[in-house]
Amino acid sequence: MMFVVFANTYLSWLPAWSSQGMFALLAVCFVVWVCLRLFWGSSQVRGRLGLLLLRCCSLGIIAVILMGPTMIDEQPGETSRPSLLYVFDGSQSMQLGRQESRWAESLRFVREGEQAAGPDNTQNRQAFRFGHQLQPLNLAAPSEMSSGTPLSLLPVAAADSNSPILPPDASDSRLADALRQLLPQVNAGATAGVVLLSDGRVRDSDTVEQLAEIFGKASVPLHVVPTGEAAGTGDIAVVSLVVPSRVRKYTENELQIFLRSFGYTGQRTMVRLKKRNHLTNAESDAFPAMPVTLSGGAQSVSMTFRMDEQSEDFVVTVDPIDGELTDRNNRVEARVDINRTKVRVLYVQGQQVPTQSFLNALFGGSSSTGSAPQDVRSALQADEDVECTVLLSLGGRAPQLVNSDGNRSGTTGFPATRAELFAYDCVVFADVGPNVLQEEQVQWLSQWVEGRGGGLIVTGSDALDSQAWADSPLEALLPLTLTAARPSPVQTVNAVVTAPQHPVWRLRLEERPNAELLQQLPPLKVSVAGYVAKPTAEILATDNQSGDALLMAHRAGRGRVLVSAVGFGGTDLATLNSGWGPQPERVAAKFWRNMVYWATEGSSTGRRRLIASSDKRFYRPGDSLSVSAMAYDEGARRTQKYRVWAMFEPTSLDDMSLYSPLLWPDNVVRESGEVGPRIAWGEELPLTPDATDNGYQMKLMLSETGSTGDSGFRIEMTAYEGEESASAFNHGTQVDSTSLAVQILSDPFEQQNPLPNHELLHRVAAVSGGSVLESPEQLTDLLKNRTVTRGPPHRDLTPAWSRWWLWLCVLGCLTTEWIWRRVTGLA
Amino acid sequence: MIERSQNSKVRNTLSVCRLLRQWTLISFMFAVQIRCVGQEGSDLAARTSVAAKDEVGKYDFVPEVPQSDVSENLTLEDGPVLRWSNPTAGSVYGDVFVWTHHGRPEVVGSFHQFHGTFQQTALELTSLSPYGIRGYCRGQQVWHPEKPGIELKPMTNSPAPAAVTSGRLVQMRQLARQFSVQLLDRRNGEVLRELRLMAQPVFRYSPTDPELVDGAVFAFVEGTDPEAVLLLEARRSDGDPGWMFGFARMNIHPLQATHNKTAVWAVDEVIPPYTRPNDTFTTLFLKAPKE
Repeated sequence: MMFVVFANTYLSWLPAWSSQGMFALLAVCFVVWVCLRLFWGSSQVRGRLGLLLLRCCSLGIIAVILMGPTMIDEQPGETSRPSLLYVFDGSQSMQLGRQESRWAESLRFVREGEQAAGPDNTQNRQAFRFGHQLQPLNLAAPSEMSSGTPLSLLPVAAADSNSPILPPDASDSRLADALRQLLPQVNAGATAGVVLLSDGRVRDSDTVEQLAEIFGKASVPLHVVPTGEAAGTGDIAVVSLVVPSRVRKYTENELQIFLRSFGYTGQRTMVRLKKRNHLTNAESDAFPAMPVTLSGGAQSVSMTFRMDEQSEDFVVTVDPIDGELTDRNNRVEARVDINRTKVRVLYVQGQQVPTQSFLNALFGGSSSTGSAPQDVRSALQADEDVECTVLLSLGGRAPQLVNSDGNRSGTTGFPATRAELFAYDCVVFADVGPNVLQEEQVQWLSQWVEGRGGGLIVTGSDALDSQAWADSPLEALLPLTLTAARPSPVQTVNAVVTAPQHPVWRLRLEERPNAELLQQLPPLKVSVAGYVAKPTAEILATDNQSGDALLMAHRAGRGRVLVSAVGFGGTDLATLNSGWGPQPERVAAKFWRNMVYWATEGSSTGRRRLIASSDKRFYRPGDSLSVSAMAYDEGARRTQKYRVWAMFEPTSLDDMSLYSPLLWPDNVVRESGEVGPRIAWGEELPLTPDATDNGYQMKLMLSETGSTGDSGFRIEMTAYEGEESASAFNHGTQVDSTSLAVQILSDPFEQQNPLPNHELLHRVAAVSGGSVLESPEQLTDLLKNRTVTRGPPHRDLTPAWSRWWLWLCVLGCLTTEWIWRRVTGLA
Repeated sequence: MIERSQNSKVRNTLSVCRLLRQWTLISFMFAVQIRCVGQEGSDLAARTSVAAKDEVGKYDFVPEVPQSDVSENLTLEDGPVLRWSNPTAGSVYGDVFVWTHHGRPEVVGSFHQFHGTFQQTALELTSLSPYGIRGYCRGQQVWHPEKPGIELKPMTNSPAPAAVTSGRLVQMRQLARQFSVQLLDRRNGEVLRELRLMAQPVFRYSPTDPELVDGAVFAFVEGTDPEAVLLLEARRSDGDPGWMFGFARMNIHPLQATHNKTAVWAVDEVIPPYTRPNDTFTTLFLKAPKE
């Protein structure tokens, strides 16, 4: 770039002719004058002083013009300086630092150096950042740099916007690639040097040194600004958090925390899971902290949390250790929302409270059932995410539907098809056994619990009639043996809660009030004896006197079964509600909801026709990924009669990449036209039927060098039947579709060693002929000491002959002289 | 004594009446249940599909395009585009068909049959058209909504439509995920149901209209039964394409939709009669085909 230092204006004589020419002209003029005098006689103006003056003036002006007086406006020649290139390290390790991050330190260094150099010395410099690749930046003029804010740097693409530069977020430091890209742009004459601002923790350090030598040979020195404190002892970083984005209320969920530590092998620290208040942003330790012994490198910590009624913002922190480089990377946040899919409960009440009128009995009108079953429905539906259908079985007959107004509808209520039953999440037998159902319905119920994770709750002594369960496949699913069970006289027992931490007993959020409430459990009635809890059963409550189990639970296949020898349904619920806890708080209603939520925790909603799952909760680059899908027909039976297609898409709309981190499988013909090794976003792949479990499966490999980072991707799966459609957009008649989120956990190079590598930077400076800049003043000197090359001055000439008024003077004199002569009669 | 004897006779008569009524009811219910239990859901669904194919072929729809003298029938697309079941509602199966105008879906029809104790065969029709529609069954007009069936609104904070088809599908799926739809089920009390978005659009189209870049119809379902449809379209307005959305009902119950927790659409319950020839959503009750 050329620029002007100062300007000067002066008068100079630049005659149109040379001196010989001028003499020749004078001589010619003299000869002409002599000839005129000789042939025309003496001049008429002799003795007329005015005329003489006019002629002399005219001649004088012409003579002056011929002498070439010129005003010269001279501006000094433009000076140029060789360019100086700033190369900023834009990788994640530059976020480290105690009071000031390494990135902020780099920006401050350049800002202070440039401001001290002043605007005259801060021309012709360029800026770049590197991470995965070299990216040009727009560098603001020093006058625009505010001392209070970081150096104004903008990506070239965002030059017209007001968006500031992004913080260093690259998960890799490819300095060698960056230098290789810079090399063609620099040469000794045009480039004063490259200023590298980095912590030195870069990939391929050997190649970096070789490239530095090449820069040295090209007489383009690499000056280095080492950032970061080399005195730190190590660092701990929370790399990633794997947690489902939507979960059901009151369910227990696993949370996987991935840590990376350096320099603290064998030391212990604490991992804390906190909840953040939506309104105040205050963080509270809602879960006990977990001690962890750092192993050096990557390691995972698993924690569980129980979801309450609302979406939660979780914060995971790791306690910092003395001397840690920074604690900024010791925390990660995640939001978990509530899955609002309704929990559908089918409540079968066996207790009969008939109050039929004469006319009802005669004409078969709807009959009132009393409010007992309604109480359970109200208790459950007080939770907006629970839906309850109430059936009433009278005298051992098939259960009938009870309308929301409390009247029996007169229609058989228990699902008449397998699919309808599988659409429920929980079935409750209150004071009634399964003998009121058809044999096929009991078979479905058994398959539903074991295979689809349905929750079965049995409550009341009347429900534990051994005859009612005899030869039923459901008996094997119960947490107790009923072989010796027999009715006994009704007796009142005081129940003792033996597993107060069990979710069904979580009636209050705080532990202490909850424990007090459990102690206030009112006396309960039992009229059955002789049953024996199975070894697999978890005893939740016992009789204070006899020690007999009263409430038992266990898992059966994919489902859960909970059995209570005491009655909680029907009229017992009203008694329990009025006698338990402060009134009018309905503690028993909450207890009912707890039982339902616990029982349905493993329920895979049977309303769906396509369910997909992956073999792991998270994946690393290079891992194999196995996806399986189960399709169900209209009868809720597993089937392979559909075609299942998968399509891949990024998690975020902001992801502008074209390809997923998945590799296209070798044995599948590709019809999309794509030829690259990776699967493109939006590309489709069929799942193949799997003979082992009557489902579908797909096996894929993740690329070693995925660019998706930790975000992962989604697999959209669709089941089709019928003929392939002529439309290019689908594969037939859609039956169902579902979405599967896949989390990828990368272990970025950047976090493998957080300590700066200043030795590398010193070597780079040494082999390239550059210097190590320890202070901004050195950068100032570097800017000032660039060789200045001055160009020829720029002159702006204004000669006298180009002044119109001079010519007007000549013309005026001659005109006046002529008029004078005419007036005086001389012409 | 006489009085006691009369009371006893009345009681006996009542008991006999009650017994007879209960036995009759039980026998009927048992018969119905046996019939239903004996049949697989897939068989019933297959029967419904055959009936659906026969039924929808009888219908023609004509859009009332303003300032157009040409009356052009809508095109019934290859289908059905969706075969559904809804075990929450009972033993009900159905097929969804789409009629298009120059590639754009204008009418969505859902043919369904209830089997079991409650039996019903019906065709639900909903208009997605920006114009009025005339619907004919074997030449006889059965439906004539004069108003547009859907109101398209621009999507806020949405990206510009991608240049490639596959990219736009990815965008549409992600945009559709920003919506949620709730249905207030009043069949037995009031139950507010969160409907599930089917990840794959039930119908994707590339219309011939130069103003329309791309579009898809998504279904919000209970089971796999579409209760509301979401239309997403990339349209050019002032030269720049942008995303538009609109909802249409496929159920008589109240429905409401939110976009990123902001209410964007709501409809009230359809009051009987459900066959409403001039509304943009109607239910045509049909005779069950003979087996």
